[in-house]
Amino acid sequence: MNPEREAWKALEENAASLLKDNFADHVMRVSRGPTDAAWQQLRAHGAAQIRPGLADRVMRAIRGRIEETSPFGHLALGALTVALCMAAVLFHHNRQYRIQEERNVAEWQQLASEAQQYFGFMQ
Amino acid sequence: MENTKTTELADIVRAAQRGDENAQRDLIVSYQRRVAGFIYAVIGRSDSVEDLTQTVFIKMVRAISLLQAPSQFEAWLFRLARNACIDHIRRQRLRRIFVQFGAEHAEIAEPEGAVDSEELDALRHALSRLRPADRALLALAQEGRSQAEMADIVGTSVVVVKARLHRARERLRSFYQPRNAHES
Repeated sequence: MNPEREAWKALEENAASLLKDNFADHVMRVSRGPTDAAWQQLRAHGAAQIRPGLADRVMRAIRGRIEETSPFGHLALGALTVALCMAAVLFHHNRQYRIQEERNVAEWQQLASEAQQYFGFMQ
Repeated sequence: MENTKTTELADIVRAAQRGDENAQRDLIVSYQRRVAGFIYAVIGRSDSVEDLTQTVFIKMVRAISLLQAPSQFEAWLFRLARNACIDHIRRQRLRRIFVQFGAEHAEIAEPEGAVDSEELDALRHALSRLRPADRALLALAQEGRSQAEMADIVGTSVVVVKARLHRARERLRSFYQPRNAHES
């Protein structure tokens, strides 16, 4: 055998020794892609995450939500909101009215004292 | 046989639409495993499967009266599941934007080997490299939905679904590397 051929053979053998025994099987598996069995396992793993009694929990949650949003609840919430808004408006109105009145009284007092000073000066 | 099953299902759906709680419960029990499996395939995390499955069934019970054709129940249910998964993934992404410190925790995929088979790990890994919409499409195909149903669920045409499904399968295959094959 000529040296070049021998070198090639050694190279091939070295490269081949890097491959595992069942290399062909692995290549076939990869080229085929995930098997139905793998998909089934995946879905089964997902299904296994559910604790027993899911249906009961769902039904309870739905009932809870229905109770939470009963017509009476809506009405009460609406009435409370209206009452709070009215209270806020009344409070604001009263406060503005009081401030305005105090300002008017102060102005009248100032006017009265100025008038008094003026008439006192005339006399 | 198949016809009898379909008629039975349609009867249960109609009863559920009338507000029959036993029928609603029957539907949940019958589909909970399939829906949970589908959700896991799309979101890829075990810790959110139960919550999302519950959300899907709550939506199902609340909206079942609006379903026009009881024979379309399965496709409709998987549409709810698909939309819930996509919304969940979007919310997670948004949360990651706003909660910076939680980012690394949200990014962590389930540890390899958390599930008990090398093929399953490889499939999960390959799925995690795909877009959520593509994962949902592949999971719908695995659920046995027809391309017409998938088009209806996703809100597009059959031609588009066919092309996207083909691309998704190709990509999945390219990312699929069972550990032994990868090592060798």
